[in-house]
Amino acid sequence: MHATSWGLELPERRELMRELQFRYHKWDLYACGHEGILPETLVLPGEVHREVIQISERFGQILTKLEAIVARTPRLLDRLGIPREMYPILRAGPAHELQLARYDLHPTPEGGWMLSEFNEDVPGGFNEAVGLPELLGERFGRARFVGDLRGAVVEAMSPFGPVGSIFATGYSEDLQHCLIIEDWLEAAGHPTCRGSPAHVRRSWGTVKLDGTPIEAAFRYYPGEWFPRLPNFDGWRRLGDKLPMLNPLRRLIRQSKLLFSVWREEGLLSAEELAFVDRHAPWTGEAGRDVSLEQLRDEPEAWVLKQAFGRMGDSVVIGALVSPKTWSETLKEVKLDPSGWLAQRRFGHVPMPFQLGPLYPAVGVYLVNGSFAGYYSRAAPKPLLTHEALHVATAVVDP
Amino acid sequence: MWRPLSLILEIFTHLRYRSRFERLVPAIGTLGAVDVRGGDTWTRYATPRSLFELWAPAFDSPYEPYHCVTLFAALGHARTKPHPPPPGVVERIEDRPLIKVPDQPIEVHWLNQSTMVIIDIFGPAAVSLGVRFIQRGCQPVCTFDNWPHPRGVGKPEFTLAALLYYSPLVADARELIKVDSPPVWLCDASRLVGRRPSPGNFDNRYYLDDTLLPGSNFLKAQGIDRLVIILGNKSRKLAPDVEAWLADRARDGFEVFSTHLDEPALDVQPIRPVRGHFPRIGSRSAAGGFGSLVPEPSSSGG
Repeated sequence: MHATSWGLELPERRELMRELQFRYHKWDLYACGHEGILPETLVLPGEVHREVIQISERFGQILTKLEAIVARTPRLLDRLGIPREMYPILRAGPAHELQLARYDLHPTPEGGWMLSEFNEDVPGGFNEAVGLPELLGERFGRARFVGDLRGAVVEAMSPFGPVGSIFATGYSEDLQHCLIIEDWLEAAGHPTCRGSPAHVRRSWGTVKLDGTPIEAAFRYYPGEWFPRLPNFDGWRRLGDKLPMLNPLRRLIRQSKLLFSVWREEGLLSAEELAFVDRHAPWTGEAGRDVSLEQLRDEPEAWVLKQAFGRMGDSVVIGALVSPKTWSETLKEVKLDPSGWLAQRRFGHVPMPFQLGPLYPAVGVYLVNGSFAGYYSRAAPKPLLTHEALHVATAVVDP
Repeated sequence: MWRPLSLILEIFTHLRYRSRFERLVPAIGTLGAVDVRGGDTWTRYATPRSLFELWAPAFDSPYEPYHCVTLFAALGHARTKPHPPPPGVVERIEDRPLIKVPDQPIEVHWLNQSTMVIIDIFGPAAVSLGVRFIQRGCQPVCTFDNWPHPRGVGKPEFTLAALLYYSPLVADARELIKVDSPPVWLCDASRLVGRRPSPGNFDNRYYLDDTLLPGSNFLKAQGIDRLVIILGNKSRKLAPDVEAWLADRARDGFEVFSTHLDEPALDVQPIRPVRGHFPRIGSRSAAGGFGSLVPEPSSSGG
């Protein structure tokens, strides 16, 4: 695995970024004044490409099995930290098993791959994941961009007519994701509309978004926020009957506490357990499976996360923070241990980029269980936050 | 009627629904809409990218990362209908000589290379006053981070109309804009104070966060040491996002001043903004935006 420069002069690069902004709706190209995209491409050898796909698809299968079991077991739902109001919807199950997921894998010093988390509820990054390969084209010799996220999403939604995008309307960075999906669907002949999940109504068997009938929805609104909606009663009655990419039941997979729950006896086979042990860090509930004293005494060995934290905003790595920050986090855990998990820190290998050594994470998109493309990032620390830089991903001899 | 508003009405007159779902036809304003000069020069800038670049900081400016795409992009996706302006808004704007006709460079004694100007007034008026600063050689940075909607809580379409309406004046003044020109930040003060969402509304309010306002180290690196914020009137309070940001800068040694549109010469007074919570991108994200800083997680009730 290595990184290769785009080899673009500044005016060409500027033009490419403009195209990304206006043709692919990538409006948040900059974060705090810094460009969020590396002018390099991460090149995966064919065997690595096949390995990360195999790991991701296998995880997808295991999570599908787990999701079905957990959905009908309130005791396990309780452990995931999912709002109880969501239980009836999760139990009922989705009308269609649509899936758009992204699994983030990290290379380890042992030569393997570890999964830090999966994004099964509302993964993002489509704008640059599809835009950059289309704009950069074939300029990297034998390395080619692979996957067809656009085609896979269109295919997944092909059984339906009009599609509505639902999102938190105050966030333009969420809107940009909806717009690119709408572009793809409209080009494929689907009428589209968009609005807040609070604009969804059902009457006489027809689901309407902001007054417009829809047959399916693209959801860019976190599942755990639904109980806050003023029309949540309507959603409860609607359940998961509206085909959605992704169904609300994906909330089960989104909880990081699932990393801990899957160790319960009888949930996974020995082979499945061996697989997840090989590719996911040991995880327990903070204060229950791992004592606060142990966490206090071994900060180097642990990572604390919240069940529904996103984009690294609630990930605290003991080895990377000051003793004061670690201690304050442990106080938070003590106050509300149920929402926190403790994960054994795993080794993460940096690799050379033009900016210097960065820690890569290869994001694998799955659509309905199959590989659909890459969304990779590289960060100065072994932690993916909003400061991580997107890096286009190509494959030699896929 | 105030001309930018009449322009937007004309623009959207030519945007029609062909069916419930079809996109509005982006044949914008070809039938007689006129700009500030009474002509159709504005049609040259009637695409998202051309309008964005017209109102951008200087080519290769360090301020470019803060120039926000969102509202400009909406020009290519217009799915809205005209709205009458709220009662009294047009009259209030036309009563303000500072912004009524931006035909002359602003004359203020305090503007120099080390000054950052933040205009935080009603969006169309911020655009109008911004023109006068651009004519003085300031480089604009637009922070309009929301999207028009027929039932939007905010009305950014008026701001979009103003950006088009004044485009000929900015086109003429662009040669004055240099990489090291002082920046003028254009902010829509109605970003947080639109109508409170009610059933069926579209919540398009937003905060200015650290993707739209730079930090102290960045500003110092550009030689900025003085911040001047222009408000709508004397009684107008600082918005909480800007106040928290100004307080952080004051703590880091920046001089902070304010003035308002009722002050004919825009004379400035030192202020001491109160520290508060300044929204940071850490609670939002490129891949999700799942913070909870927008006043409500979504837009409506009922």
